[in-house]
Amino acid sequence: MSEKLISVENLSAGTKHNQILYNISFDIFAGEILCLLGQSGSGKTMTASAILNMMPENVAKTSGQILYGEKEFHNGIYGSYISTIMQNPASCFGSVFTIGQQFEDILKANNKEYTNEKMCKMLEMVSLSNPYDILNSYPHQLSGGMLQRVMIAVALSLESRVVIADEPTSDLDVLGQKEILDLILKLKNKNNAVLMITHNLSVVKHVADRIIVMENGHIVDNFYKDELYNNERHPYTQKLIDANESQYINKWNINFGAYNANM
Amino acid sequence: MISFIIKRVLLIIPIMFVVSFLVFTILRLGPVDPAQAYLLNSRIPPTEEALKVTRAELGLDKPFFTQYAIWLKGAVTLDFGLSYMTKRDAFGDLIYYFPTTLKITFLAMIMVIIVSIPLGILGAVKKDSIADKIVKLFSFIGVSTPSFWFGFLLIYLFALKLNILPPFGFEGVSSYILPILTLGLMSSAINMRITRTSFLEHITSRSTKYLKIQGVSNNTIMGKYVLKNSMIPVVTSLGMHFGELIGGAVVVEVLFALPGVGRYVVSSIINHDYPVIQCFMILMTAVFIIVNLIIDIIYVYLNPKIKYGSII
Amino acid sequence: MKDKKLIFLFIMLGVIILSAIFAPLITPYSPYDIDLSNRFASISSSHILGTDHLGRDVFTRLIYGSRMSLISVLAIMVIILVLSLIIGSAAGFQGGKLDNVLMRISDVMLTFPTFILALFFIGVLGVGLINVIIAIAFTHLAWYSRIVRSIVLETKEKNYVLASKCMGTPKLKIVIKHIMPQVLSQVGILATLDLGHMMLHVAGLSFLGLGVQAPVAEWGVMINDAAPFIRQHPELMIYPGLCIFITVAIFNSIGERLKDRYKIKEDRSKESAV
Repeated sequence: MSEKLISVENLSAGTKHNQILYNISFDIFAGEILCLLGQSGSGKTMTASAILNMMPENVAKTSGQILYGEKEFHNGIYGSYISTIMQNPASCFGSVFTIGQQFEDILKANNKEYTNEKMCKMLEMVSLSNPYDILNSYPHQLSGGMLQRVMIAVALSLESRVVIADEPTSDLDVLGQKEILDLILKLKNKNNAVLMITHNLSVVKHVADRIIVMENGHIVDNFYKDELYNNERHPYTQKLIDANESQYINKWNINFGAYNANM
Repeated sequence: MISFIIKRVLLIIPIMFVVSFLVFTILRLGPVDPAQAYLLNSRIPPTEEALKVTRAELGLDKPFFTQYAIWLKGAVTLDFGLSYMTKRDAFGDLIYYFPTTLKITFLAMIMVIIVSIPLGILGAVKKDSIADKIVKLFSFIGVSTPSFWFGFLLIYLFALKLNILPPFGFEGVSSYILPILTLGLMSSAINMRITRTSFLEHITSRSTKYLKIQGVSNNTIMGKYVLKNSMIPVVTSLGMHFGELIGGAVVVEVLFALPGVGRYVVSSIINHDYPVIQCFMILMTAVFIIVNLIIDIIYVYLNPKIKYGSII
Repeated sequence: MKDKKLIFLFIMLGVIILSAIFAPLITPYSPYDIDLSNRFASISSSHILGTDHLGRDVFTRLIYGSRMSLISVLAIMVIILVLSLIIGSAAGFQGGKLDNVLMRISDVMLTFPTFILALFFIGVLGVGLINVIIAIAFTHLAWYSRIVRSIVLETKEKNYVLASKCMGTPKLKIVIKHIMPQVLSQVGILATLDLGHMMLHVAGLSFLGLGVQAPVAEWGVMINDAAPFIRQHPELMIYPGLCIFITVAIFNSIGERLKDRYKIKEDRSKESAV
């Protein structure tokens, strides 16, 4: 059995009036890409926030704990132990500093080599062709896909044990999505793990080693990818799979859902 | 950047031209006859005869645009005509008083910067703490207090009761302290609030969160990223407040009997001393344009979105 | 309305307004009754806050003084709202050349700080309360017209307005039914925020001797009147200042609360006018 990097034990959380997470327990092991799959409101993002110790102010942990290796949370975990790839990357970089300045600050903070050559090398690894120009540009000058790759380059160079990727493909077109997912596959090695938060089963099929399905704040299913088409899947998971199989129905469901949501 | 500055400097000429025309025209549209104002200021009874002579003397019998052209020609060479009250050169009079006004305005500006930015940041960083509550209370009191009244309270407390500062007039550096506190109070309060809001907005931004998770220390995030980002609206607001301060300086000079343009301008308004009012407005316009230019340059320097357009 | 603080603030404002309206019922004196034999009387049952340098009852003058302040800010607001609604909607609806000209004029006006511009307009119109009201209204007009224009432009593109346009509703009816309510509610709240600021302007101009003239009972004038006696009788200067402060603070708090409650954007005027 490979090393346990993060273990979430009996985590419950909620606001004063609303419970959001119910008894969440799972582990993240080295060498795997674990996908947290669920619709919006299922609690997957809240789980990730809990792991990052960044829950919204009005949400409190009511029970359970999260262990990072053998340790409890402390600020030194950021960067070296956990890092992140966030969605909507245009808002994740400060707008008044160049990409290079921000990359450099992140590397410096983690005691990594922060020469321009090193940063260019990392940018080339995520197939960004003119890395010097990118280092000298400001976030608003780059496209979402480029910035997402810069984020992956940052995650790669930090060599942290766990990378939490929150819907990293949500703002991209189909081709862009595939490129980013391939890069995320490249990010994984035998020493680290990727926790990917997504609502998209296609994404899961592409990258996941293991899948945890969440519904209304509960974990309803936890299985390896090759078990995806087993007959014994939880009914909710089965519903997601069926919907995904038929794009036509999928579209109908989504549109109908959106229509209802607006009413 | 340089082309931006050149463009802005060249824009000064048409703006001054438009303002000078508006000032001249609007004053003529007013209900007061300049010739009558002139006579009243000279203590001559405004008889029909005297009015006629004065009109000819001041060139008021010429067509409107001729009058404007004559005035503009003088204005370009800084000749704004003679004051009705003092019969001296209006520009010379104003420029004599002007340095004091500029001095207290700039000193008040420095006070605003020194007080509002650190306190605003303190309030944001220690949100909801006692320090934050004091900062909020101070800014609330500041925006609701009439500045001239605050000036009187200061005079009463520091000059009359404690006897540590001079109350009125000009007796050296210490005479500036109370006027500057009076003048800077409201702008400090407003800018403190703007700084606090802007800083808070960036503390909770996604980019701050991202840098934090990537392991960047709190000190670097606050001292570098949040600080620079949050200064953009603060600089804009400081630019606007320079104008408010120079307006407030008029009140403060009257209150503390300082030898600035304040009293001179107020009496020229009461006495319809048109050459002085026109000259004052043109002078003010020049000051605001220069200050706005400086602020815009700082703004562009701070904000790369303007400096470098998008390449995609 | 569950906001207890807001209710409290409105009650406070109500008390001030009622005392201004019913001033003669509250106090037996007239604000202009000079009694030189009873100058600088201290606090007593007959003169709640004492008398001033001419023996006038200070409390009476404070109560009557609220009339001046309230009436002047009310008048300023009415002028601003009416004119800015006309100018802003004309610019927003008509667009094109008219919009361009109006916005360039407002650009020029916005270059000047309000106080300097107010001084200029008083220079044009002459000294006096009515001229001060007009001057302050004019100096804020550009700002409000821009806000109205910006709201009109935004609302114009809203789906329900477009829908009603498609169904052939006449333009004027769209303005009255859909756009005016939006404009009025948002501008109204922003205006509340500005009332205090304007009151300070009026008081400041009165202090300079450009607005209300003595012997009229007005808070700014009272402070000015009390200035020569500041050493012996500071309270004469403190009372009217406190009245201004409290009233302005109430207006500011109400404005802030309403703004937060209805999430009104404050810096619309800075939005691009092109």
